[in-house]
Amino acid sequence: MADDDREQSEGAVSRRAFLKGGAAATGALSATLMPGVAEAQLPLAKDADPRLTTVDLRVNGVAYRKEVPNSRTLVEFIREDLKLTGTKVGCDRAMCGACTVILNGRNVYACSMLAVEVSGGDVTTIEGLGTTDALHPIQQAFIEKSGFQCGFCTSGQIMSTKALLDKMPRPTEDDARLLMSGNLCRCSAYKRILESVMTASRLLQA
Amino acid sequence: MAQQQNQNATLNVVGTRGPNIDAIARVTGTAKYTGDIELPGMLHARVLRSPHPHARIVGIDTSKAEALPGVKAVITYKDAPKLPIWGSRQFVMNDRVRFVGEGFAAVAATDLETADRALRLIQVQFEQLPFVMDPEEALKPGAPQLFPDGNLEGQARAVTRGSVEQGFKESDRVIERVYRCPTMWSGSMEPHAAIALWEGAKLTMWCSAQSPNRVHMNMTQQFDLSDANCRIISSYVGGGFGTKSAPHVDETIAALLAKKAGRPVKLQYTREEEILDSNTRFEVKMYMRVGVMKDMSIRALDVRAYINQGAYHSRLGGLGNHATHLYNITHLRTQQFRVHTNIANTGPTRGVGDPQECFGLDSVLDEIANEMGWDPMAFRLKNIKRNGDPVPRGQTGVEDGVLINQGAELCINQGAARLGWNRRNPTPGAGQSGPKARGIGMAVTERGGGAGLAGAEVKINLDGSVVMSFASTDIGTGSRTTLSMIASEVLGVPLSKFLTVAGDTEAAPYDGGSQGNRTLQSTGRAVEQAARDCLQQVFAAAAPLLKAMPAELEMRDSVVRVRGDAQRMMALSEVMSRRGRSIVGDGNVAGAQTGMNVERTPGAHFVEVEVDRETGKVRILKYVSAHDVGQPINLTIVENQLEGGTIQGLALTQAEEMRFDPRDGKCLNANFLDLKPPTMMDFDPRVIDIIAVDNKSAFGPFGAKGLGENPNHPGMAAVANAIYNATGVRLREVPFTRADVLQGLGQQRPAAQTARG
Amino acid sequence: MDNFSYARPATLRDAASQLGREHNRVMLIAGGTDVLGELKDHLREPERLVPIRHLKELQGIRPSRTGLRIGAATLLADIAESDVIRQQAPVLAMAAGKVGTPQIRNMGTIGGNICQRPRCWYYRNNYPCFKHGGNTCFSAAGENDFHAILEGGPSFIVHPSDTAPALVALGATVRISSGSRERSVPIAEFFVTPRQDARRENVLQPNEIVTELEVPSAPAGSKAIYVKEMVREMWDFALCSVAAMVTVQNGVVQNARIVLGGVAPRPYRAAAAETALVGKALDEASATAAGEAAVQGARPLAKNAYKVPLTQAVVKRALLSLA
Repeated sequence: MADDDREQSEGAVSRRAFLKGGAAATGALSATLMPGVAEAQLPLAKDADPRLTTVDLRVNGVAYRKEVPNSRTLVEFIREDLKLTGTKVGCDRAMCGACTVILNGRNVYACSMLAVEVSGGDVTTIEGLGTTDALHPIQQAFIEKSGFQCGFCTSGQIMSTKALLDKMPRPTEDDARLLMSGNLCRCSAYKRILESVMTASRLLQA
Repeated sequence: MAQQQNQNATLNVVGTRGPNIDAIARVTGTAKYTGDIELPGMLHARVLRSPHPHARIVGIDTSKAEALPGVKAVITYKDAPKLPIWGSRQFVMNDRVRFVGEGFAAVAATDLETADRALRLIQVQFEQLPFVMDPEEALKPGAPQLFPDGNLEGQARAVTRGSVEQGFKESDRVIERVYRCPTMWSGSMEPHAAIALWEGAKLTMWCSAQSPNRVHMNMTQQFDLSDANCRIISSYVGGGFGTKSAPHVDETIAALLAKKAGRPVKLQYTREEEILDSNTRFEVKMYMRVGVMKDMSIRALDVRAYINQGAYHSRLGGLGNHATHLYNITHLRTQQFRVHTNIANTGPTRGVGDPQECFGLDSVLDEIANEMGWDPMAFRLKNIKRNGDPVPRGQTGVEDGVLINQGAELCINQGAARLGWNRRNPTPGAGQSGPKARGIGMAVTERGGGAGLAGAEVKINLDGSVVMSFASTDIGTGSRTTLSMIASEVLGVPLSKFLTVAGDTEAAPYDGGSQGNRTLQSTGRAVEQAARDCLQQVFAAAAPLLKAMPAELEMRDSVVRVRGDAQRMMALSEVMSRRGRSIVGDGNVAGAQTGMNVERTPGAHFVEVEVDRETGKVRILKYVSAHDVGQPINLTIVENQLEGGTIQGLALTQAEEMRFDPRDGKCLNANFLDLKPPTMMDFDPRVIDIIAVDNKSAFGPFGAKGLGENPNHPGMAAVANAIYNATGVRLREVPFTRADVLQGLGQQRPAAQTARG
Repeated sequence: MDNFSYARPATLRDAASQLGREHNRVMLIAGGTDVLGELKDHLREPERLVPIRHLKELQGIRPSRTGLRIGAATLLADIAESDVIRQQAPVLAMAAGKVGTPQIRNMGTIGGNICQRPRCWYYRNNYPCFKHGGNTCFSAAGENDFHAILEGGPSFIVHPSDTAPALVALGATVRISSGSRERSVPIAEFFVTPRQDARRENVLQPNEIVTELEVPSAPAGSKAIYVKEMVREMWDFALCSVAAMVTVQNGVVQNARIVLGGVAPRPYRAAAAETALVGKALDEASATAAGEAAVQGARPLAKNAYKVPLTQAVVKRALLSLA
């Protein structure tokens, strides 16, 4: 969409179209960092406006560089700047898990991290897992076991499953319940989500 | 699992298992919910809300907000139509606010941050008014009045059968108890969202609604639009549970802003807004008096209920029909006082008052059974209505119909066997050693279904693929899938050929929407009718091509065949391409149930709990939900609904009460951390056991019954009854907190640990 | 959330130099799980956030002369799963594992966990209470189900941290830096009662940063446990929690540390319970006595009397599990 009608006022938000893959410098990113800790590159506040910062982020394997307000959360960056709307916002307070993404190998609540804080990081969202034509085994498992009802929490459930199985490929059901406890499902399809996690573990082993 | 083989050999699709047809969209994040939609030039809206529970706005100045760069429209109650929202007393905005969180102004700006800042620049002068939060207080003389005609919403709905006073005189034993379900959060994962787009006089709105046609009715009224000039789309909806079953102020606010700004506007509620302003589960205080005879029959029941509707109510609240439709009771009276108070909006939630009524009624029945030394299950079985029993056709209590296809007894017997009811300790609280006490409880529920008008359209394309359009929505109930399975069964076209257009008022005929156990039966029958219409057209087109009469034809696997002749057949795609025109069939039905026969959808829950008498913790050891599901259309979806609904019902025993400070009327815990909906750790999903009792309906498509609401009802009563069985402590208010359990145990044994400083 | 200035400091000294002389105008952000909620709810509206999670001075789990030195920016998940912490200070690993959810533990730091603000719903709803500079505690005559039964008044908040009771039980020391000046505070003195300071929960000055926790190794032969009672099984703050550490020799308790969470405005060292236990065999009778002693002096409010028997039971069971 055209952005020409979006005014920029003092201290207000600039929402210029994102530069897809436009940042060569992001090649130096390390995927082994702790969440949000960038050793290689520390984004520096611009002299002009200390409330805007250039953020470098690798999302689903694509490097992005974008100037955003410091108050931009990671989930806003993902949904609004990158237009990746598979990640949902259910509470915006780290209290539901719908916004769960994987940052540098760990599942986190994207609503409660700042984009500037995670600059230099590596993010995987639901869009980075599988596509409608080439489903990831975890997505296959959630379909096979019907691990959802309304689907609004599902992206987050699947990303937590990914983090869980990356860390613990053969969880017991009790392990899975513990490690999935940070994702609410209001439809309470928990029985089938649990079965989906266990099935995904088997599919990934196969 | 009580899975049964498909007994009807003629069914190929109905009764099978399988994933939802939209599963790929839901697991890849490609399903577009309202908040995911972005239109060119779209603005973002925020709503200014009252900090007072009751006030008149005596002055408002929006000039500073309007002057803020990036602000494109500011509206206040002055801009709002003076018309109530469909089904409610609430105006979209008013100069009188009646609960903390009621909106009275809104801003549309180029981004949310600007809209937020603009809100804080609006200057308001309130004249605070006295407020009332308790429904009984609100009926007392001198109570603050919310409306010119008082706080009582119309006449209290009354059912009278026989004479309860005489019935109590005749009874061998009478008890009276009071039960309370507080105002409880009942929302879904996706908060309300609405996007309004005006193109000339035409309004297109994407919103998160269960009933797009109800929103449509509201919008055409609010803006005086022709039906054709209003289109409502609710394609993917992230849960509803009743909170989205009626139009809400958010849709109208978005449309007002969009009209004023001349640009599309998105209004996405925050979680806090969603909790404060979204028709939550209403408080009910129930005075229950029951009288029984020594032969275990219920002689008289008197129910007096105070229903706290909050400031406004999306359509009229009330209890369910358990007292009138589930048990045979000689003398019956129910009075329901629907009262307005200065707390948040309320509405129906997964049963209009059914969970609340079930808690009151099934608790008091358990209490009197225990007092009489009866087995509570035998007591239920003595009194439940069975096939052929008189039953009200409507909600008046007059038993003018005949009950058919009632599965209550099946549910009770199968559930009891699965849980092992015979293990129940006949002397509650006795014989337990150590801090942890175990007990067993049960509760029974019921509900109708399939009411109202429904419509659907089925189109067969030239290549033989099928598009099915309906204006009810799939809010997670799997209706895209089950409705497609019904059409697939009728047509003989595999499910893989189907695409659904759900929740679009322009694409499909009128339909009442997805609530009240109705979609599968009502929209389902419309789909069945539309598919049969298509099938006849297919046969009419194919008959000359196959040199046969239409009546000789059948279709299986998208191939039209002459019955009994293996040689003469033609692929549907070929029939269609030769025909050269698509085939459209439509179905429109009015209420699934007609005539004297009355069909209900019952269920019975059984639970074993462990009560930690030192910490007050209640743990579910085993839970059985046995439900009459009619003919299951998709067993996977049936079980998923029953499992999820059961846990959602159990959630009410643990937390989810909205807490209001009596000093200022504010809700203190409008967030997930403080409302505490269950995680996967809370109720071990592995101990939830489902029995889908196959008990075909006379009305639903292929004998299906709607079932989405019922599993949500009995949890509170079943758990309370089990806690009593374990400990002898009777809890009459949900949720069952540590304080309640420990206090109950302390009163039981005054010497025990109730140290106070 | 209102915008703010933000620049990543390269060193601890740079970070401290960004801090001001008053709380709230400039705020630190580590994991951010609490701070961002406060900003979004406009509980605090800082001009500047100073990020510290990346600072080298705040990283790492290292051995020290007496035990371990844990950087304040260490993630809770790493503490919960650290082999060396599980060995030398198991009660801390257990407590860290009880915080929030896997996601919260992947985001939150130990420093942030001990410095988090109260979960009192009056505070979170921005009532003008002590914590917001006012002179009232709205819970005292309000909805106080989850408030303090011990050491309450004039504010009745409870300290929400899980790791803090464990650190008090271990006798940890908090290392604090203002850039130019460093100081060490025994953790029991790091937290304050409302009578000492009703506005804040700890002694941290506006220009100071918690840099490190020095955690002595648990005494040889000691056993420890962290038990947390919640409304939910997970993703909840404690109704009552206990970090218990005892050393038993020859069947007799030599040494005991019993610290409660969720019942007082700071982690509450139940000294009377410890006294009741030392010199006794660790059994049902002594554990029960310790449980009763733990709530000596409890003054419940209108709606939280249940916390008294609950705390007694939790202390008793925690101790018996160590027998």
